[in-house]
Amino acid sequence: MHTNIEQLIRLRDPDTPPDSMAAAHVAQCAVCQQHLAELAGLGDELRALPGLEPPPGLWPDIVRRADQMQRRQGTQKRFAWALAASVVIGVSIAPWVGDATQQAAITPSRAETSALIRQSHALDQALHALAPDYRVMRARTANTIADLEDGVAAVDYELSSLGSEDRQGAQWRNELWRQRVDLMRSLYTVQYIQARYRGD
Amino acid sequence: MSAFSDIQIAAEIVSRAQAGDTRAQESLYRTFAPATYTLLRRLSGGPDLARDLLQNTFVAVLLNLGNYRNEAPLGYWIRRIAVNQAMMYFRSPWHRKRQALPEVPDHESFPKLVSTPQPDLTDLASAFACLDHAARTVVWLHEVEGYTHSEIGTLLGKSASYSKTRLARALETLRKWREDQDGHRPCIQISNS
Repeated sequence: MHTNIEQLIRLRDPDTPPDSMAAAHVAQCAVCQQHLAELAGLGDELRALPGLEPPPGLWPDIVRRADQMQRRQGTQKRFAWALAASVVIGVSIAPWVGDATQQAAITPSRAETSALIRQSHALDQALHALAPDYRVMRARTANTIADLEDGVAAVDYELSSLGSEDRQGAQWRNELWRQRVDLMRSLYTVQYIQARYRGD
Repeated sequence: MSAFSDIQIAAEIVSRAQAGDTRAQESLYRTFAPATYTLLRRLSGGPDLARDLLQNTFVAVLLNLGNYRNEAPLGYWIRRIAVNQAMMYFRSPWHRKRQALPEVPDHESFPKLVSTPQPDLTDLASAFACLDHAARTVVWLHEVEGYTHSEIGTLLGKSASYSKTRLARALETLRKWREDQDGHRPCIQISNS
């Protein structure tokens, strides 16, 4: 009985512990050796595929979009600083207020963020279920959707590059999820209206 | 070996680009765009999506260049952003090509070519582009870019075993396609449904 494809792949994979039985079989089986050589050859051929040149003229668009997003991020950062400042003020006055629950009210709980994440995922699914048809759409609607999608992409990017989970990090994460939910709600509403307009 | 490993760029250009020098930023784009586009074209399977992802990648590069700390070669840093952009696209619910990552079936089945290569492009690149996106991702990142199965599994939100199995089956699909080519059998439409 010959080795199967997964055993053969494992034999040429440095990440995987060697399969001594499969190796012993391949060492004395011309069919499996040929099979293995063909698989290795495919990897070589893929690595040897020529590089591709990107379409010309993309750079000005990239610079323009980066500028737009930088402005958007600037607004978000100002908001974050304001938020952080309010946290600092809140924390610093907490001892005078003497109410231990004050701080908990300012710092979002994990449960609150989790609820936002669940809402966001539910909206993802709801939007998915709507199956928007981009071919039948007014230009203005398409632009609105594109702007909202850009907004969601920007929030997703921020979420993917979040660092420490300190109190400010938790505030910012919570705020980003809140923004995502808001954007997804708007996106869903526009798509829902669009679907009704199409008569789905 | 990854095309990114061969790309050299002067540290001075990187510093100037980080400081906001637009000519240096453009030079950086010109240096890394071909390798990035090639990677995105292989992962996405088509030129239009690859162009969009390339734009998104370099927008993200420009926005985050100040955070680059020389801990890894710049090419690898850009590659990571490009791969993340592609993965974000594949996960996004609102894009047209939304399809869940296929689970690896228990029985002996292999990924099918999801679209027909153009008749005059019956080379390996065309056949590769016809694999589904998860298969393309696993094969390209492992075989060409040198990612480990564990890294690929994490990117796809799956296990390392998933990556191994997908790799084995996708390579076997390509090998069988190659066998058909050698036997002068045409590359035929295979429905994914």
